[in-house]
Amino acid sequence: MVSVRFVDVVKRFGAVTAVDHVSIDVRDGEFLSLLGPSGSGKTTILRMLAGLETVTEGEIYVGDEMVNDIPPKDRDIAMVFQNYALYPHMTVRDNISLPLKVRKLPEQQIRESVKKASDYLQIGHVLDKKPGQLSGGEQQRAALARAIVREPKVFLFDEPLSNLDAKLRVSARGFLKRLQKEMGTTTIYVTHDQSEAMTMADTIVVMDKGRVQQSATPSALFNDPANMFVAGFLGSPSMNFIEGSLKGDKGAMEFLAEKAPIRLSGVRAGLPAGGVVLGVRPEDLRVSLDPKDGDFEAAIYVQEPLGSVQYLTLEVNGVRFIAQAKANFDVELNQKVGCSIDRKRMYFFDPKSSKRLG
Amino acid sequence: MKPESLSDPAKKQKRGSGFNASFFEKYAKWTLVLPMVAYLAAFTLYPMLSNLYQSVAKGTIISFLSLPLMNQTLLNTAIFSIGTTSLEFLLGLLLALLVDKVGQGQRVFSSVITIPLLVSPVAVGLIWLLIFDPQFGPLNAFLALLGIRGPFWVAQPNTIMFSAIVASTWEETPLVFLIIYAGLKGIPRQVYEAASIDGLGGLSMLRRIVLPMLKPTLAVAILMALMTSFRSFDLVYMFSINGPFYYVQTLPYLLYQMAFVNNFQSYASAISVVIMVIALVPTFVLLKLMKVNERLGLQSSGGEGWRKILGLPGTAARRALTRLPLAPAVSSLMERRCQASSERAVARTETPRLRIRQKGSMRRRRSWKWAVYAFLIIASVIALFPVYWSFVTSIKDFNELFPPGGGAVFFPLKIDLSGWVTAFQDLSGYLVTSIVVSAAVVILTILIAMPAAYGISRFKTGGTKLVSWNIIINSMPSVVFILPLFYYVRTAGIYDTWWALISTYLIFTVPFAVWLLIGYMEDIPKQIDEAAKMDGLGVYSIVRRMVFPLMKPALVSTVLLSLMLCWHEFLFTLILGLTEFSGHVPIGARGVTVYLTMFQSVTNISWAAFSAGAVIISLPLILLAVVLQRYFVGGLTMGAAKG
Repeated sequence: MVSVRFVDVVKRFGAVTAVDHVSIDVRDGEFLSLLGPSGSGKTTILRMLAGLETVTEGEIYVGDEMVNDIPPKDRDIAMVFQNYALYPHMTVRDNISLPLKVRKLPEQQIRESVKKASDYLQIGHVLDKKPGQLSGGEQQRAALARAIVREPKVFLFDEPLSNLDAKLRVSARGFLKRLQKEMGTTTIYVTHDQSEAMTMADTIVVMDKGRVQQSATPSALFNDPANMFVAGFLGSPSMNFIEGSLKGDKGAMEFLAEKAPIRLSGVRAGLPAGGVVLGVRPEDLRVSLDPKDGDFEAAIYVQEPLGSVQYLTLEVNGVRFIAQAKANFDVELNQKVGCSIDRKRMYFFDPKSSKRLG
Repeated sequence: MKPESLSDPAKKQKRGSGFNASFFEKYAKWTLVLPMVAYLAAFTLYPMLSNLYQSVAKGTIISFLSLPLMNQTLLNTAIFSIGTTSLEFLLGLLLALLVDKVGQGQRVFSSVITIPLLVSPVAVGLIWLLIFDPQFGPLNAFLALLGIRGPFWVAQPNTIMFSAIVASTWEETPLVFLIIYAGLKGIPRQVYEAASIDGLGGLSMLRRIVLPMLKPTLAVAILMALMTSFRSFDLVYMFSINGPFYYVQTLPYLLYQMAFVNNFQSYASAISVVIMVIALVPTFVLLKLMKVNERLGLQSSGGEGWRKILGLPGTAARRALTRLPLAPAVSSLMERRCQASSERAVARTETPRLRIRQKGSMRRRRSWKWAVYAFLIIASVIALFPVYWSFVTSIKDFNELFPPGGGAVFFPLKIDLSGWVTAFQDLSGYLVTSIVVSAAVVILTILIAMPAAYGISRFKTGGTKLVSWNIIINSMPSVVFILPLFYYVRTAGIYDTWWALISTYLIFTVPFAVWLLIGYMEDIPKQIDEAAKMDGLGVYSIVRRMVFPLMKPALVSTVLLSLMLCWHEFLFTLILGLTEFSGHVPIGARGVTVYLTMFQSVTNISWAAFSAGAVIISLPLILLAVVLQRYFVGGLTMGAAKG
């Protein structure tokens, strides 16, 4: 049981800076997720902690020990790879027991540990098969067994669910979360899938372009995004962004869209006047067939029914945005509808720095 | 508490394992390739530099052209190289295209066509000398049946070169065939399907789709053919010692003559330099084509790019090649399907007049199919006949060997095994030498090449330079090295011992094996290495416990081809050995190939014994390669091999 600390870590590959002055604290026993698009540096951070990449600048601590120069085999960290990286020429049993054999543990203890791990992951029946003969889910469990069997200080997961089909992925998600809580091992989980990060992690670190964009609990990230990147990355469909400006004074402000006749009064006070980007999530945009006062008008551009709800892409003067509507909301293409936005659920961003305002 | 108990022994182990192991681990990038680099520097770089120094220091390089025989030798070399290369290329291309087209029997045809490659070049020389024999050879007997009086072939100045080209073409065409065939198998079926839906077929498909896509493969095939024929020594040697050598000797043979018969060593060095320079030209073109940096994954992403070396677009294609039994069935099915769909498409859209034309072309296609089969069967007969001939010659008695009044007996009526008895008695010593030397070389090759290939593949040691060096060594004619190595071996006191051969044969096997193994190694996901690293394995343990077992198919290919190189080698064993077998247990450095060179068609009448010898020498490898065909073909095409 240890904490993990990244202190001002930089990683360069030649002229490319993959990780740019990143500092992260992972608490003892925490499930931390590194979330970001591909190329954001999240996997590089994980691999530096594993010891598979060298650190260009900065320090990485596991517990109190600085591990920068310790080879991977002596770090006591286990990793589950995206493609599982099971050793294809060995049986599942040999795969799981290899890390223990390498550490020269007594035969008896190895057998017990393997049994415990494989029972826990319910792969006792495939121990004598080769990885190639297993299903995707079984392979994943075998890789997990190999990771937990040596009871490491830290677990690393590099997109471990992306090779599973959609249905299995959801159940594996819950299973992994449960396993982490039961083991209580500090865990770092890399993913580009926001739903995985949201459902599993205690803390999410959102990465982009090698930098930490925001580090917070899932609900804080969703409700209180620090910038446009985080706001747009979390939530599906993503948040709508509409360029415009804020006018008015202390009493109440008014938002005017730049390219479309959208005028929203009654915006909460305390925001700086001038150019802004309005962010609003599809579920906070309401559409109706009989527009009320203060609503603005938009035309239906695309209709995407999903069963329980539907997503409507709306258009005003070439500005498009998505709204969530009830499945029985009956409209036709190009039909005009009225739109209103929950004033409490409006986010404003600085168009230059893309930072959240207010 | 428990984690403590798990990690503790690891730490103790680390402390206990001492300085040495951790030193090798820490500098694995360099220690992995060190044995290979040290060996190649001593046994290839030094000899090449030494040649250069010798020839320049003594000024012989200047008087090179004034050497006696030089004009004729250069002319011979040009005629032989260009003649063989063009014949091999045309035949190889034709065979590959036709075999790829036939529905049934692809595997059988490709196996049969490959057989000449498995016969050692010295044996090829011997067999063709028998075939070309003016008086008792089957060729002139066959021509006599047609009412033609055959020429004296190998005994005549104006036909000996032609005979040598024919024999060499017979032997080397399979290599060209295999390279092009692999390239053809690498063209995705969808390309054919798309093209046939777009209305292409037959010759227009060949001209517009197949040949343009094959371009890099064809270039590699031509270069390989050119390089093999340019360095050809064994076969030229057999023809030279049995005919008017002046009209057939090429540069490598002249070098041998100068160095070891006439004792003009400095001239020999000069010839070495000239050979080196000439050989470098196609090698550099080949290096460009092979895209070494792509095989190493230095520029392309994901290590896919190197497969383009042979026009192989991906693993699936290579699987199609190496699992020939499945490929024909699938491809013929696909062909039939895409034919049908194209015809349907035509029927739907074109006018009735065109549909009639389509029917006509169907009939034409069917008769064309028979022509293809006929051609391939004739080609197979030609591929097999020399092997058959050496076998029947070996079991003939004197009267059938030399029928009174000349001619040849194609189907012997009596069986006389005395030739086999003599051959076994005379050969046994050479066999022991060849077996011991081959086994030792194969083991050493794996021990040196495996870590080196891993180091180059994973640590990119030396970038592309080390690999390029390997390819250059691989394509150098072996005569270039022989003179300095001869002095080496003499100085080391291992002349005429097994060690002389073991230490020098690695020149052929190591560079080849490294190049081959790197190709396969890039297919092993790097995550396997990383997972093993996390699980606590060091670099050397990863090579031993992960890479080695995962590379089994590649190792089979490497062993098989290294074995073939050793078993067929002739020049080194001729020069570095002395002891002729005389009934006692051999310790000399003479391999099986030397035995065959004692054959003199004119003075020696034990044709049966030498034919039996050729069969005994060739058979083990032919059997092995047929049994392990997919490894053999896979290795040859993956390495775009040295012949």
